[in-house]
Amino acid sequence: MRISRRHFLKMFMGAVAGLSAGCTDFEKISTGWRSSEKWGNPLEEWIPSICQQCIGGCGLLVRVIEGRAVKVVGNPLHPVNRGGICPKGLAGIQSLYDPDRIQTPLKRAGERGEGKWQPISWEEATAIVVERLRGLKEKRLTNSLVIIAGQFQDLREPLLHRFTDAYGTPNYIRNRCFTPNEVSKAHFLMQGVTSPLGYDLMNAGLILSFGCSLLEAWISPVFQLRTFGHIRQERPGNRGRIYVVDPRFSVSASKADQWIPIRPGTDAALALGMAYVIIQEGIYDRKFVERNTFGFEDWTDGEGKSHVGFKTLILNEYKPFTVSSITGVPVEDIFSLARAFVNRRPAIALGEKGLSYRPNDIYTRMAIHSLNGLSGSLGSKGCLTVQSDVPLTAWPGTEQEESVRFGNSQPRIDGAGQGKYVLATDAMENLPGNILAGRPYPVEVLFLFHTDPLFSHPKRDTFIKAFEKIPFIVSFSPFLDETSHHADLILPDHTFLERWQGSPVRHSSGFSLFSLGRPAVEPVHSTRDSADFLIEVARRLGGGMAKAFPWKNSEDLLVQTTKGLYHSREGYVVSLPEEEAFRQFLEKAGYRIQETRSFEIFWDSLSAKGAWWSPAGSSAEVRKLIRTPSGKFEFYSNTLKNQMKRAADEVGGMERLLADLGLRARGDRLYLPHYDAVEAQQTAESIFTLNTYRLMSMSGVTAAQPWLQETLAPHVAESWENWVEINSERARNLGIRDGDRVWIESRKGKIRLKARILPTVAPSLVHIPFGQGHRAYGRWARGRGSNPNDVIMTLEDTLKGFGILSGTQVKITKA
Amino acid sequence: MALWGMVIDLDKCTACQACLIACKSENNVPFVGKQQADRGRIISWLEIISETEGEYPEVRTRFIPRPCLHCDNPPCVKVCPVYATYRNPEGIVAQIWERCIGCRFCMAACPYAAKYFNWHQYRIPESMEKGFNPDVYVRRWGVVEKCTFCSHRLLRARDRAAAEKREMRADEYVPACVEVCPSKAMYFGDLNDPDSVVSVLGRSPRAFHLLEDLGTEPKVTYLMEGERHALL
Repeated sequence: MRISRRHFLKMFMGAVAGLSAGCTDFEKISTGWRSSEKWGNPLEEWIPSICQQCIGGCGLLVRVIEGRAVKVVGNPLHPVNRGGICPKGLAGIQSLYDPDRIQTPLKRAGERGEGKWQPISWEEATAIVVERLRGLKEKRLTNSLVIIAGQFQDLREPLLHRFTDAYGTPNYIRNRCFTPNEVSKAHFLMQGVTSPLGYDLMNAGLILSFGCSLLEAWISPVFQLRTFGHIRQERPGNRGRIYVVDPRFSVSASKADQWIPIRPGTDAALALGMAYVIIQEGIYDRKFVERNTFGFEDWTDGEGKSHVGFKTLILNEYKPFTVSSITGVPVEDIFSLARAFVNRRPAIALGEKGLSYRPNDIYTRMAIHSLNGLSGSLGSKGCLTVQSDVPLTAWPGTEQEESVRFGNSQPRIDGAGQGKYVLATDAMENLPGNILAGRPYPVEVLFLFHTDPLFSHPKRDTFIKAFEKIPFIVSFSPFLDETSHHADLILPDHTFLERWQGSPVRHSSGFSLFSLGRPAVEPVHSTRDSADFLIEVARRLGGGMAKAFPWKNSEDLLVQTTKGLYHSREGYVVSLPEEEAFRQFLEKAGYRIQETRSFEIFWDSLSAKGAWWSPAGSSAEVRKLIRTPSGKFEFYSNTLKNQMKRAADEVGGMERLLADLGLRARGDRLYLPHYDAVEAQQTAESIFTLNTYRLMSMSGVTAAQPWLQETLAPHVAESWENWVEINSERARNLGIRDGDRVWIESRKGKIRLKARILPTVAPSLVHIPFGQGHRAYGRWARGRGSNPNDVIMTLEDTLKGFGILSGTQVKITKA
Repeated sequence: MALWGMVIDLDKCTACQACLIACKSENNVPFVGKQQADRGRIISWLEIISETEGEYPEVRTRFIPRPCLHCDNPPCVKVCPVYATYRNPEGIVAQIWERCIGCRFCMAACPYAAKYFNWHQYRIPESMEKGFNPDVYVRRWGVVEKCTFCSHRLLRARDRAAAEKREMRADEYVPACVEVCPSKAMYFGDLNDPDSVVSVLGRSPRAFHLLEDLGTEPKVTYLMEGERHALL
């Protein structure tokens, strides 16, 4: 037989196929590793870590080969994600090896914002900071230190808080949309709880989401995605339903059983319209409403004054036809939604931490939460549950000197918690104005921690001016982002894969959990863990400060803090599901296995597996969920009434307060969920209402990660820039074609973006995703698209002082 | 001998794109940059295909994650003039990168557009090379590349089993995309084993294949959205 080239190749190929099945490494490659010898039998390690790309708190395993992190996957034992992980988490490795990371501490050399820096040593940097803080302390100006902290999930949060507390300033201000450690205002006002509640979504029969992007960027994305998979196909015969109310056809909406497009800002009306149907048809949970709620029927107070009840208000004002004309939702949909919500119990209405609705935000969230009250979705399987606490060792008490107490007693610089911001825990909206006016006192030192307000806040211009008034600004960012450009000193932090992490995760699921992450790799540059830095500064400042920070470093802090877990005699270090099932079986029978004989063994096990949890407590009794003055679920919120009274006293009268807040409601309605009409829409050929949203791939810190830049969204094939989504017909009328450049102009400014013409967009709206349009932040992020914050008009929502990111009227013209 | 296949449950899939990034990270897939991306040259072995029907407000969007479907009757293999791409005995449609001459016949032949061409030698900053997976080759310019079902993981699993002097279990081999799927919508296993999860799910009334009528016999099965036992 003649052996042809073909036969030869075939034979050869067979050999190769067996050997390599698709990945050959015959010769040295031109990119990548120079030395192929080094590849010989590499030892790999898997190190547990915690993802900090968003606040979800997923457990990671980092694959480390010869000191290099080469892959990040989900930790299969971790109760939040069970091995799953979202695209952001996977791309974390690119932030570790980003070529534009800050490599050493930098001191400003030129003018502010000029971009001239002088590298200095950590010793010098520490000395500068300590000297500044000591100077303020001597002048009794400790309260003029302000810390702005962003969105993260870590023990650094209480550590920073402690720092401000021990130093003597009330100004620990968080700039964030998601506040993982903070209770939803609606839950606080109607149930009186002061820490976040959990949602037993895994067992829910129906999830009704009002603008919460359940499958994109809600509280803990991977946990929600896992829940979605579970309720869809892993409960045979009981496929969970998901209904999404959202002005935008989001990914969550397209995966839902039904999408209910709604006129933006009218969610409260829809929720109350559903309440009308539920009450009118008498299908609400009568037992729950009678026993456990307050303010449902009309009632008379101690002084004999009669008050309007929730029922009367709803039956009078929220008839389906009225609601339909407000919301644009067809009457039959209101009926079918309401009936489904009751018939498919356990049902949960989600309004927490969703999109900011409009100035009537707080009442909207109360209206949505009132549905949970009507269907009795509290304290049983598949409903709202208590989020149990993590039994960590309490940190040693702080003895405060007189000067520290004086500092702490000063009013907050952002005015949160006072007057018109009575319900606000942080009021970033108010901050730059107050700094500029020196009201109530001038700011001397600003620490920026994991936040970039010059990018992420619509009040960028005011912030820049305000920063000019601050003599000393320190940034802890590992990257030269917009805000760090305006700093005087940059003390680059480690990225999360390089440092110790400990996180009592708040992930909305009910069980208590503590995650521990070890440094996966040695620091790539001369950066320093900011927690270590704070401990060092506190030690050098001495006195009460040093006593409040008795730890050697962040590792020591974690060791000391997790002792509480070991001694609590509850929960255990995560293990395989089978082992856990066995353990739970034993616990039900009344036996408890003491896993480890000493704390050292416990610590080793914890740092090898990455998390401790206590699965008990997922469903709690109703009384644990209700902590209101009346001891009941309050449709009529006494808490809100008390808070507003206090605020009214502060500003000089209720009418004054209501005028400040722009509230139109009066009397009992002020404390009941109700709908306040939103601003009238302009109608013109080129005027649209801007709706902003978040993508799964962009969490604010991920714009500098090229993998994510090339896979921004599943619904439009766009990369390296953001875009504006316009309705097909209106675009046609304006002569805009798919892919054209358009100007988006508001009264504040204008930006240029690529237009994407989609049939899913409501005619009156345009949608722009957040996350792009950086002016700094390294080569991958800078100059990609435009920042929608540049056109967002600064409006605040009532009582909480949070900026409203949607609803600005914009004009669209072809560029 | 095993026959490797995958099942993707579209009722559980949330179009989060984790599979896609996991693939890029595992297989050293380069990012191509803005300019090349605008020319449609992004390399992504696994893509989420989306399709929208209707007009507001009656709209519907479907998302379908599409890796290489590893056809049992693969059109790409038939057209390769240099036998760079082939179907191995375990059903993996593999490719020998160094043999590829970059003619792109296979790209034209593949009805699923699952193959990608390296238009350039994509260089990334040196610091980022540290994140490369040393198990996987980096393709050079002028070469077509595609999903391998992470076959290097099969080799590793087999090596490990051999070192421990035992048979490899089917569940020791999982591609990177399946490993990370947050909603557990992807399944992987041996189609020759009638009791494996992929075989069982493959018999579901919800099962279908992409462009089935072309006779490519893909080994990636999809499960359509809807109730567990719903028929068409």
